[in-house]
Amino acid sequence: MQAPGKIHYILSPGNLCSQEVLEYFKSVCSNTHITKGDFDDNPSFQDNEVLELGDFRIGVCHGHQVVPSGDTDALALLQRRLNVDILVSGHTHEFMAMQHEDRILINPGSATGAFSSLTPSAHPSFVLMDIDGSKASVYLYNLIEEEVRVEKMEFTKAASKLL
Amino acid sequence: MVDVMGSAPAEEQGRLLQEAGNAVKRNAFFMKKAMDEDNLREALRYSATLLGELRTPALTPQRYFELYMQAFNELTHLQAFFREERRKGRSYADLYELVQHAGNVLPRLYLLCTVGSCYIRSKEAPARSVLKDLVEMCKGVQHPVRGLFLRSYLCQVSRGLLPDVGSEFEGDGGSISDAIEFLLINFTEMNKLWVRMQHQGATKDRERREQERQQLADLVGRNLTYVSQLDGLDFALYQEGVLARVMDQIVSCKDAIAQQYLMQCVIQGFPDDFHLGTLDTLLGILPNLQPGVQIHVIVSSLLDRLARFAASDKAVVETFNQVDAFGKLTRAAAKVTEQEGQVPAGDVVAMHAALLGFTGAVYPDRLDLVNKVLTSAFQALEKQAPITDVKAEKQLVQLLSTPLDKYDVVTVLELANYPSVMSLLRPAKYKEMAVKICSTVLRQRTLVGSMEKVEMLLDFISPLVKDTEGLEDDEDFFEEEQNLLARLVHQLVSADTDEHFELLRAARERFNAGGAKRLRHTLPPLAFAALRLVRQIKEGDGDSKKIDGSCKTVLQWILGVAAQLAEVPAAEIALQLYLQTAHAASEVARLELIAYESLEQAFVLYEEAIPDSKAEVTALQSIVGVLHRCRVFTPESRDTLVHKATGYSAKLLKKPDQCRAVCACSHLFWQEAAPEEEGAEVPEGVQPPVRDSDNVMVCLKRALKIANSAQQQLAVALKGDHTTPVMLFVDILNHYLFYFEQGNPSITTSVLQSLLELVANEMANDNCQNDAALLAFYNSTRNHIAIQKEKGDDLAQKFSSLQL
Repeated sequence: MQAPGKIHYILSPGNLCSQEVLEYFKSVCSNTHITKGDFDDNPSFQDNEVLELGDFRIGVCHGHQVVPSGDTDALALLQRRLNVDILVSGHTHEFMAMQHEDRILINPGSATGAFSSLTPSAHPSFVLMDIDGSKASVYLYNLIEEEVRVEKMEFTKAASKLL
Repeated sequence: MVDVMGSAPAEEQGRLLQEAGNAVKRNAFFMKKAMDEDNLREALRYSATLLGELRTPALTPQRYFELYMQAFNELTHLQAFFREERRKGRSYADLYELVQHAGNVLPRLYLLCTVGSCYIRSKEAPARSVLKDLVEMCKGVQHPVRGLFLRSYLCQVSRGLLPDVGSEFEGDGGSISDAIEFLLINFTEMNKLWVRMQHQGATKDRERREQERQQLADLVGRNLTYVSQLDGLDFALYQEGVLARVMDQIVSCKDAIAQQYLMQCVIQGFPDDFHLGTLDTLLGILPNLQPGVQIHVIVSSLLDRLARFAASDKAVVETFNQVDAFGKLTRAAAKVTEQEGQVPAGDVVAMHAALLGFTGAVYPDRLDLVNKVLTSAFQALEKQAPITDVKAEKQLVQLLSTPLDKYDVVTVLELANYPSVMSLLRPAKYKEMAVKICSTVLRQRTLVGSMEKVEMLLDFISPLVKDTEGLEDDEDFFEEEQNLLARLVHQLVSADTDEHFELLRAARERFNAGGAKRLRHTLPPLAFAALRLVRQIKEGDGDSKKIDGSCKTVLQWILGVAAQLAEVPAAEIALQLYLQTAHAASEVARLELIAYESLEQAFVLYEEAIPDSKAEVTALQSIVGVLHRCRVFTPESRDTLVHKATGYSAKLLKKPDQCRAVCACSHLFWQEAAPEEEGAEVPEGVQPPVRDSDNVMVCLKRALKIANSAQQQLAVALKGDHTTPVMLFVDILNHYLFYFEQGNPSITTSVLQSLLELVANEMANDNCQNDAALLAFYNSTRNHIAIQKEKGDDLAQKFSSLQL
């Protein structure tokens, strides 16, 4: 998977905290979309990133701007503001992937299982997404006690309803 | 005949070889013609002439070899012819006698060898007699190169014809001792010839001569190879019959090139178990070798072979022990250094590296032996410290790294002589080692759990921790090095929380010496490690009174770290750390005073040290996020803090930022109860969740006011950015919806309805209709309302009366 060329995009909500990690990401895939976390000091990171892949609009945001932290309705608000089908956010280090109304919320958790006072026992996790037109296959990777667990979720973008 | 070989100049060589080659071909042609005509006499005459070309002194060894190969090929035809003659009734004894009529010595001997091989094969005479005769006769050629090739021919042509155990030539033909005798005499004579080359000719040509000698080395070595290939060569024979004589020749020839090559031949050619049995002899000879010989290369070869031997067969380790292989080899290594006096550092290190490899392969569990090797290395090198030779430095780093990779880092660092060997390095390389040590700890995920070990580890990596004299920090790598150190902090772990805290304290003491540029990287991980510790302390001791004391101490320590960080200066990170501390103090330890102090410090930094408006926005977002979650503040304290937060929000520079910040502040008046609190009593020290619907409303109305005045702004109108304020309106609308769904009593259906209409009005404007992003936001909001209506639960009731 880490062979060059296999990953086409890297979406990271932020808190890379060092140039080294950014360079590592770039070595896996040069197409990175990284938002500014509360411990990042890289001036090129923005608060929000939006990109279009397949039929989906995907938004990335660290999430420390969202109050209450990690709250589904508050995240949904951000999602509407950015007008994205999939919102990737972080900050809480709590791994989560769910469908909310007609959109999707994903929190890939902490890639390193770093300590967060919001989620006491965070374990390392990340997400791989495969986008094909209007279908998104989401693979959820969790490292729990030395064992890697993988789950799969599938979402299909419904035709939008306009009133 | 001029005695110096290769005397013709380079350009001439090609031509001479060509001429000689042609002569060989010409004579071969006639020879074959004679053979076809069954004319033995003529065939022999032409073959002798052909071989006469090999008498030339003019060619270099390389060219001579080409000529030799041509002759060799022709001689195979002659062999076939001899076999034919034999079938026709002529005996080999006759042929053997006939060929001796050739005029010159060299052709005569080549022909003798050729016949000889057929003679042996036919078993007309015992193998050993023929072999003995031939090997003696060849003494007739004393010219080094010509003699070497002749004897090489003898060697090749007698292959497979030796009276080895189990061969057809054994018995009447002789025994294996005859075979060994033959090969060893040939070897000895060839070596003498080879050594003689060294002393021929002018001194100025010495280098060229030595080069040429190297080219011929394998001719000499081949004899030993054939000895090693004898089926019947067992250890007894080797020890009694072979090794002693070979060693004897090696020493007595007193030639460095020969000694170097032949020692390697012996080590590489014969089986490892033979070496084990003759270790004393092999090592004993080393001091008797010439000064020019690179003894460390020989010892290293031997070590490598024995290491591989041990690796391939665990059972031999027992044998190693019985002969005290380790002891002997270590002593030999030490002797090498003593003896030579000025062996270059690189060579000493290389030898000890081989010794280390050997130890690792044969005795993987014996760290005491590893230490012995290090001791030996140190003693050998200490007079040359610090090591300045680049190659030697590299090798020394490699030497020090090997045990790190194989064993657990902390254990290695405790080896008595590891630090002393490390101290032989110059500052730059010492730092390189420090980086390696750090990386290894991280890679192996070793936990360093005692004060003693932590202190020791930090001692070892001190070039990373603070400035070292004589060492400049490399800009490019500095951050990466400090990141290593930062990650190392998380490896300092003890199961006992008190001890764990002490470890962090000790680390911080060390890091203080690193200066601001390092503290920026090393303080944050200390703080986070401590935050994690606070939670562990709290969870570990349950409700014991002791924890509060401990949690409190740790939290106050973290505040100290944050303050130190602020002075680096690193205000933004320090502020975030204060917030993290506040959250931990409030939600984990339930200590109101500390939580308040943390937030207070965060606000102070906000006022005094946050650089620009963008940073202000981020800082405020974080402050509000944390304050929202804190449940430990009494109403009075909370009031002060919330008031500060809302005040700063309203004072942000840009109106849209103000508006969004004030919206965020509305949440400060509306907290959620945690799921575990449902129906249970509020725990001690925790305040019930704030549900101040009026103040929520105040915030939202204020936000609307700001959005309105944003619309009035001239700059906005001039820029043509009419839609940003409307975006704000839609944002606020969404917030209203949030609270509506939460059941905030201040947000009634009518309030919401009027806002909906207001926004609809704004949206009707052309500018807004053309702004895709705004339109999408607005429509999603309406969609959201529609979905709520269709849910069919209590919420839907409330929504039903709303008209879109």
